[in-house]
Amino acid sequence: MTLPHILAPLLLLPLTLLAGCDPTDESETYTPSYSDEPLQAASSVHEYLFAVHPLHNPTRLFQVYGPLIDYLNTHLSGIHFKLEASRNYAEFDKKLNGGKFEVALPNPYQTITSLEHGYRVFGKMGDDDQFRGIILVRRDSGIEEVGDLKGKAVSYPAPTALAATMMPQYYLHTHGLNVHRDIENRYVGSQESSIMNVQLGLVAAGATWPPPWRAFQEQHPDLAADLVVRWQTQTLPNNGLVVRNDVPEQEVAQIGDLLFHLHESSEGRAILARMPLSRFEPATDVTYAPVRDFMTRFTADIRPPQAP
Amino acid sequence: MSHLTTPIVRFWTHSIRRQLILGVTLVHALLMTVFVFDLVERQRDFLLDLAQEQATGLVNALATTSSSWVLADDVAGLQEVIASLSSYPDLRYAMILDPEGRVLAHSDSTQVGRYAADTISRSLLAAPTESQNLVVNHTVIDLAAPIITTDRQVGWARIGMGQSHNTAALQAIGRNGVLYALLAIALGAAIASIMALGVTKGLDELVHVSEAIRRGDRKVRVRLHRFDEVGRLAQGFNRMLDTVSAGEERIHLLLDSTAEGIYGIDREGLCTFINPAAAQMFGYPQTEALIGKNLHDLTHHTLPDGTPYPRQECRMLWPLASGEGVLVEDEWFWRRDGASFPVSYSSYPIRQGGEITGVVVTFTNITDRVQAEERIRHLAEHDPLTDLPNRTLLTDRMHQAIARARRSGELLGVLFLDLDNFKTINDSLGHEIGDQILCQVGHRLTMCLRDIDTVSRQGGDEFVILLDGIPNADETARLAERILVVLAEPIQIQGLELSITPSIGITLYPNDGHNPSQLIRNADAAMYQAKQSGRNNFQFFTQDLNQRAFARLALENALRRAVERAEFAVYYQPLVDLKTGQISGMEALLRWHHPERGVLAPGEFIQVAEESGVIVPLGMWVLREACRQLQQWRKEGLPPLLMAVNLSGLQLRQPHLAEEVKKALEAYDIEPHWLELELTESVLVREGGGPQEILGKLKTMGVKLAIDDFGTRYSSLAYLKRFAIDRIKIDRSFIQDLPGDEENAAIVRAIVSMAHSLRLEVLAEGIETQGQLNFVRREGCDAAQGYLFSRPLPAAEAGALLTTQPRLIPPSA
Repeated sequence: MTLPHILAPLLLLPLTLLAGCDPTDESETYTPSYSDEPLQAASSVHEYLFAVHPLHNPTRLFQVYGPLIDYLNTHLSGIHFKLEASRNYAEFDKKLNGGKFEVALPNPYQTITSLEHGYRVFGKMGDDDQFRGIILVRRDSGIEEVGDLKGKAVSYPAPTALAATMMPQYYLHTHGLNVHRDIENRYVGSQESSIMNVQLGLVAAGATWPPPWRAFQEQHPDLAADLVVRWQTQTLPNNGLVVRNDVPEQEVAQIGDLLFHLHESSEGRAILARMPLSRFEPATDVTYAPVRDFMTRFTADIRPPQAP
Repeated sequence: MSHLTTPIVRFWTHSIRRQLILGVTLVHALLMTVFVFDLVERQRDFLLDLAQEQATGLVNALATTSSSWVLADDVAGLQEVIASLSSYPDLRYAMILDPEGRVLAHSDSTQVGRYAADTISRSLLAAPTESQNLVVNHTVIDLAAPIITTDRQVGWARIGMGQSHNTAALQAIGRNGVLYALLAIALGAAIASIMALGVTKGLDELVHVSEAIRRGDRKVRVRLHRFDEVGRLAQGFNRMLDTVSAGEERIHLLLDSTAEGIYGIDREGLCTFINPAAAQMFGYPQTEALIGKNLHDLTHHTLPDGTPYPRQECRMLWPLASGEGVLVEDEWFWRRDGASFPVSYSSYPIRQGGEITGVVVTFTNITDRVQAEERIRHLAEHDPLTDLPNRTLLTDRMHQAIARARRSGELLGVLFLDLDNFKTINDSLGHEIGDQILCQVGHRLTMCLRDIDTVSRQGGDEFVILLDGIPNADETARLAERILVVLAEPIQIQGLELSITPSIGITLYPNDGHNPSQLIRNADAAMYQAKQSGRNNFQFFTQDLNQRAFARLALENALRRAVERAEFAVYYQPLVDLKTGQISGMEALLRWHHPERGVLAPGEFIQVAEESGVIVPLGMWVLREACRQLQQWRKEGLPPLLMAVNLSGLQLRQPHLAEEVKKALEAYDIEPHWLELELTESVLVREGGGPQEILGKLKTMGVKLAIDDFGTRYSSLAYLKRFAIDRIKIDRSFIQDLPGDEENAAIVRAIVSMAHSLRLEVLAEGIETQGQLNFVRREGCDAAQGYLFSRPLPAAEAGALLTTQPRLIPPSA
C-alpha cells in the first residue's frame, strides 16, 4: 500500500458530491394539463351576468353591489347571477351593446342605447331627484351668474357622463353660454378630479352630480368648505334596469319582484344604503323617453355625446 | 480481522511522511466533502425558500393586479397583465382562473377558455380562500393566490416557477465546491509531503550516519544545518558520537600497544575485533582482514597432534555456555602461511546487557617458553656432556619397561658399562679429550643398539644400558658382545688414536632384580666381576648365565671358524618311494665335524647359526654342495633322483635367495624340478606371508617345495595353497607310536587324506619299524624316510647305497 493508493480514493470523496448535484429529470417536472370540458357538471342553474356601469371602479363596484347580487342569488331559484364590472365606459358599452349581459344597470343614456341592442327596460333606480347635474364654484370666486363664466374654464368628468357632464353643459347652454365658444371645456376624467379642479382654482367652475359631491364633502370637508353648488339642472330618470330580450318573462318577473320590494325589508334597505339608493322601481322603455328627448336636443344643440 | 488491520497499522506507523500526508489529506477530504455537501444542501433549501417567497410575492401581486380585470371580465386586460410577467426568469406558466377552474388568461394564450383539468389544478375548486402551494419541489413551484374583492373570491391567480436557475446555481456551487475540495486536498497533501520530507530527510540523515557508525566508520558525523528539533537532535547525536569515539580511541590505544594478542569473537565464532599484535601473530598484515572471519577455521583448526580440532569441542568457546573463563596452554594456533606455534590463551565471556554475546581471547606465543621447558626437561633428563639420558630418565624408563615386561613376559637386560682405565686417560690427556671420548663412546653405544634400548650416562665414565624386550639371556650376551666389538675400534680424537675398552656387568629382569635400583646395583657388581676377570669383557650377574653365554659365544666363534675351515659336511638320507620301493630322492643334511666334539648334527648348533646369521652362507653352502654331489652322481651314471635341501627362516628373508638358488642349479647343471626345498612348518608360520614372493619365484623356476615337520604347528591350510607346496612331510612325532596310537593314526590318516585331496604328496618321517611302514603304506603315503631304511650317510656311502640297493623294500601289492 503506497501513498497514491490511499490518496486516490480520498480524492474521489468530493466527487461524490457531484453525483448529488445532478439536475432532476426534466420529464418529472410538473405541468398542468388542460381540457375543454368543464370541471364541474354544468349546473341546471342559469348563469346570468349582471353588469353595473362603471361609476365605481370594479373593486368598489363589487363592494357596493355585491350584497345585492348575493341577495338576488339567495332568493332566486334556477338563476345565478354573476356580477361583472367594467374598467371604463367604453368597455361597458362594448359589452352591453354586444349583448353580453343578461341583466344590466346602465346609466340612463346607456339604457336607451341598449334598447337598440336587444334589451328592454324592466325597472330603474329610484331617487330621480338625485339624477341631476350640479355646478360648483369656489365661494370666493365671485361668480354669480352663468355669464360670469365667460372666458373661463369649466371642468367636467368624461364627455359622456350624462348627469355630471351633459346635463350641466346643456344648462349652461340654456342659460346663455355658447359652450363651444364662451368657455373652455376641460374633460378631466373623474368626478373627483372635476371637483378638485375647481377647488384648486384651475377652473372657474366644475360640473359633477350629487353622489360624488356628497362623498367629497364627507371625505374632504375642509376642501369642500371652499366650494358651493351654484347651479343645478333638472332631473332625469335614474339608472335603469335592462334585461336582454331572450331572458324568459317569468325570470324577469322574478328578478323585478325581488328588486322592487327590496326596500321593504331592513336587510334590503341595508343593501340599498350601500349604493346609496332608497329603492328600485319598475319601469318600461317609455319611462326613458325624456332621456331620449334630452339626448336628441343635446346632440342637436351642443354636440354628439361621444365627441367633446 | 487482525490480519486485515495489521498491514494497515503497519502502513500507518512506519512513516511519518505517510502519516502527515495521509492525515492532512484525510482531514481535508472529509471536511471539504462535508462542508460542500452541507453548503449545497443549505443553499438548495435556502434557494427554494427564496424562490417560494418570490413566487408567493409574484402570485399575490398577480392576484392583486388582476383583481379589477377579473371583476370586469376583461380578458384582454388580464392577458396583458399576464404578458407583463413574461419577462420573469423561470416563469413556466401564469394563469388566471375563475372559481370553476376555467382559464381566463394564460401565458400560453391557447389555453384561454379551457379548463385546468389535472388533479392538482382541480384541487383549487375545493380549496379555501387562501394562498395555495400546489407544487413545491426543486423543479417547479406552483402557487395559487385567490383573487378577492372585499369578502368574496372571484378567481385564482396561479403561477408555476421553474427552478432551473437555482438548479444551475447549485450545480455551479457543487462543482466549485468539489474543485476547491480537490485543490485543498492536493495542496494540503503537497505541503504535508514537503514538510514531512523536510523532517524525514533530517531523520534519514541520522539513520544513515548511525548505519555508517555501525559499519565501523568512526569519523562520520551528522551534517544538518537546521535549528529545529531535528537539528538539535543531530547536534546531540554528534556530541554523543564524539564521546563514543573518544572512548573507543582509548580502547584502541590500549589494544594497539599491547604485545599480547587480543581478539573478540561472537556467538557464531566470527571475529568482532582484533588487535594488531594478534593479527601479526597470525601472519596477517591488517586487522581488517580478520574482522568477521571465523577464526577457529583460520587459526585454530588443528590440535597439536595433527588431528582436526572440531569447532564444537573448541575450549575457547566454552565460556559462551559456562559463563566462566578458561585458560588453555596446550593448544596451537596456525598462521596464515600454514606454520603453527604453541599458544597460551585465556578466553573470557563478554557480557552485554546480561547476555553473553561472545568471548574475548588474550593469547601469547609460548614457543619460547615451550622450548625453554623442553630444554629444561631435557637438561633434567639428559647428561649435559653426552646428551645421553641421565639416571633419572633411565630410572623412569626402567619403571615403564618393567611394567611392560611384567605383562608381556619378556625379559629386560640391564648393562652396567665402565670404561677401562679412563681415569688414566683423563689425567694424562686432559678433561677436554676425556669428554670427547665419553661423547664418542656414548654415540657408538647408541648407534650399535636398537631404538628401544636406552643408553644412559650415570656419571664419570659409567654408562647404564637398558635392553628392552629381550627374548632370552643369549640375546643380551650377543648385544654385549656387539658392544665390545664396536668399542674395540680405536677412537680418533685430535689426531690421536685411542683404544678404549669397557667392562660390562649384565643383569636380567626379573631374574636378577625387580626394581631399577636392584637391577643397576647387581649389574654394577657384575661389572666389577668383569673388571676382575681382566676387563674388556662382560659378566652376567647370574653365574650360569655366564657359562651359557660364553659357551654360546664359543660355539658361535667355532661356527665361524668351521665355515672358514670347512669343517662341515653334507650327509644324505634316502627318501623311499612307497609304491616302487625305490629310492626316489635324498635329503641333504648338514653335519659338523667339530674338532673337539666330533660330528655334530644341526640340532647342536643350528640355533646359534641362525641367531648369528651364519646359517645364511652355511645354508647356501649346503645347497651348492648338494647340487654338486647330485651332478657327481649323475656323472657316475646313477639313476636320477630328487635332492631335498632344508631352508631356514633367515635364508628366506634374504632377498636374493631365488637368484642364489638359480645360480647354484645352473652352476651344477641341475634342472630345477630335481631340487626340493624343505621349510619347516614353524618357519612358515613364523615368517607368515613374507616369503611369498621368493617362494613364488622359486616355484616359477620349477623348484619343488615341501613342508617339513607338518602337523606340529598351527599352519594355516591356506598357506598350502598360497605357496603351492608340493609335498607334506609328516612329522616323526606322529609316526612314533604308530600303529598303536589311535589318535596319531587318525591324524596321519587325516593328513594323508587332506594332502591327497589337495593333490599333494605325503612323506612320512622317522619310519623306524615295519609296523610303522606297513601303516603308512596302507594309508597311502607316497614316500617315507627313516632309520628303517637308512640313517643319514656321508656322500660316499650314500653313493654306494644308490649303486647297490636301489630298492629298499618290495613294491606294494
